Amino acid sequence: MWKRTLQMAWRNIWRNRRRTLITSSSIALGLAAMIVYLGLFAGMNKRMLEIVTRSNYGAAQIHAIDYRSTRRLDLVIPDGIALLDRAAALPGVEAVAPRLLATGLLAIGDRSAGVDLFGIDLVRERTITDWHERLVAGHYPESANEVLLGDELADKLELEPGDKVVLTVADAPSGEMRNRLLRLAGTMYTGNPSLDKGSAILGIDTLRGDLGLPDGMHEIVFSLEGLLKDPEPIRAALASLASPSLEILPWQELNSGVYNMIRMQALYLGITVLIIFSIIAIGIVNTLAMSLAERRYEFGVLRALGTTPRSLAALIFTEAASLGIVGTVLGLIAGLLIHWPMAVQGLNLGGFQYAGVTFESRIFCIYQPGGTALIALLFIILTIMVGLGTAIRAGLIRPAEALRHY
Amino acid sequence: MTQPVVNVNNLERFYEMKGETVKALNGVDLSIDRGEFMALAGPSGSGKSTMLNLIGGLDYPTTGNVVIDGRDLQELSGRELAELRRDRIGFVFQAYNLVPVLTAEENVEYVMLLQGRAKKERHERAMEILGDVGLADMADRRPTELSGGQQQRVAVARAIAAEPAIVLADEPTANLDSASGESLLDLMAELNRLRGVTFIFSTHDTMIMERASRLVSLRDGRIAGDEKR
Repeated sequence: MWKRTLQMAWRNIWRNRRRTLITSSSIALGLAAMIVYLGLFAGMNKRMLEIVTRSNYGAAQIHAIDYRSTRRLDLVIPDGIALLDRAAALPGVEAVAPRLLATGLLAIGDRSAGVDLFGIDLVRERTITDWHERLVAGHYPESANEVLLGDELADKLELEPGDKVVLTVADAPSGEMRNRLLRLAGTMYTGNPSLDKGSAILGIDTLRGDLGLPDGMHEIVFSLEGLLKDPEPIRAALASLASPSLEILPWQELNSGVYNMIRMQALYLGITVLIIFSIIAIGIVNTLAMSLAERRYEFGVLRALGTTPRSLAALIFTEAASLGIVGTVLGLIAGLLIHWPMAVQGLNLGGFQYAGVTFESRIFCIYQPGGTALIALLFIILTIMVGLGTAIRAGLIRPAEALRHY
Repeated sequence: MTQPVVNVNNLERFYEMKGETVKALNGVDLSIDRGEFMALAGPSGSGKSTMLNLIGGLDYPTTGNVVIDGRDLQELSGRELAELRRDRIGFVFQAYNLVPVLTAEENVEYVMLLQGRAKKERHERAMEILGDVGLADMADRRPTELSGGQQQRVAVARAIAAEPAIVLADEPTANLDSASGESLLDLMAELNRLRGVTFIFSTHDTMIMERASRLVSLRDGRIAGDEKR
């Protein structure tokens, strides 16, 4: 009997070809949109994570306690050099780099700008950030008197690689002002506005000398192996470095805005799924209700012939499920066809800003087989649930009453 | 003495319509023997279709009862009623009798399928009956590919395929031209004569009334005449 039910259901859904195509297309479009949406957000998250960790924060940072809240220059990491060596030897740590941080004034002629100074280990820093890959002009600093600027800052000061610029900083122990002549090695664009508009990067030893902080470092930045999505594994990897004089923070706490945004995407996804599902559910309910109203007499005939309410309900239920499966299969095909070029060639978001991060390069969709399977399953369950209600109504039809409708 | 296949006792069916009680059937007693070719006649609203629905277990009486083959329909559950209709009663309606997505053969097989009969048996039986109604060569056609008369023949074939005790035919010739109507009636009369199938018609059609072996007239929900020929 189930074979005939299946056959009748399949033939029935194609009785009104246009209505079936419209309904299954709405399911297909909804599913295709969800597949692309899932892939796009996975790609955006990955890129966002790269930008956040590779443009400044790394996977985690260590500071002296109270440094981040006070920014006092004398709050350097105690025994920084030894700590750096211990950190580098930890399992799961790919690379570490020290930074000395300060503020200063860059001036050339009558043009000047306040800047955040990053004193970096010119070799180690390459293993943490991608600044050396983000050069717009010139080259990465190689010597003590070279500086790298964000391209917007360089534009503002009308500087070009090779130009000289004067850096003024306050000596940490005495507060006396010290000047140094630097040469602009190059300019970079990171997509991180604070770096591009207001930062100057130079060798850590140069800045140590100017600030009067020999061997000083305010920050140790980490690159870690494996996933960076959650803060707990990061904390666990660095737990052995913990000390009352140190603050160890994963990137999720250093940039909680981006982290919360990534976490919120699950909620956005849920809301989007709910909206799309609701729209589709209305379409399916309409199709089934129309079909039920139009075929009332036919159901009366089937009931008269001895079809039980359960068998009639099974027929309607199978029709709804078939509609859902047709739509889902079409949606999977369409979704993968749309997703494919976006995964291979990427999507140019043209400087699109999201959660304070600029997507200056292409975003590559990342196919999410688990998510796709789950959404496809939800679509089928949705149609089945909607169909179940209509099927129960059909099963309750009284034959004598139904036979009056022709 | 012939055993009655249908017994109707003090049957009443009242409807509420716009606050008023409509007495579609108002105390009907009737006994129908096996092998009868009986017509229920009467003007519109006399209670013919209501009577057929109640005999067919498609509706429930307000009071009274219907007994088919010794089984009181009032005592049956919905599922048992469905099984009784499937096994003991065949239906031919005025129009749109057939399941549109099934072929003529599949329509004839449908009730046997509900009964759980084997595929081979269903096929052979359906083809035999379609042959009897003169449509063996149209077995694979869908209802839309058949004329009105041919559709009614398939409906008759379906009604008798499962060898029911009675066939209830609600104005089966109403939508047919007179030639097709007469041909359909010839077919049913022949099945009645050769196979002993009991036919109960509700009809306005004088042709059916003339050929019926028994004519029961209904008026205002009561039996106004009962003529055996």
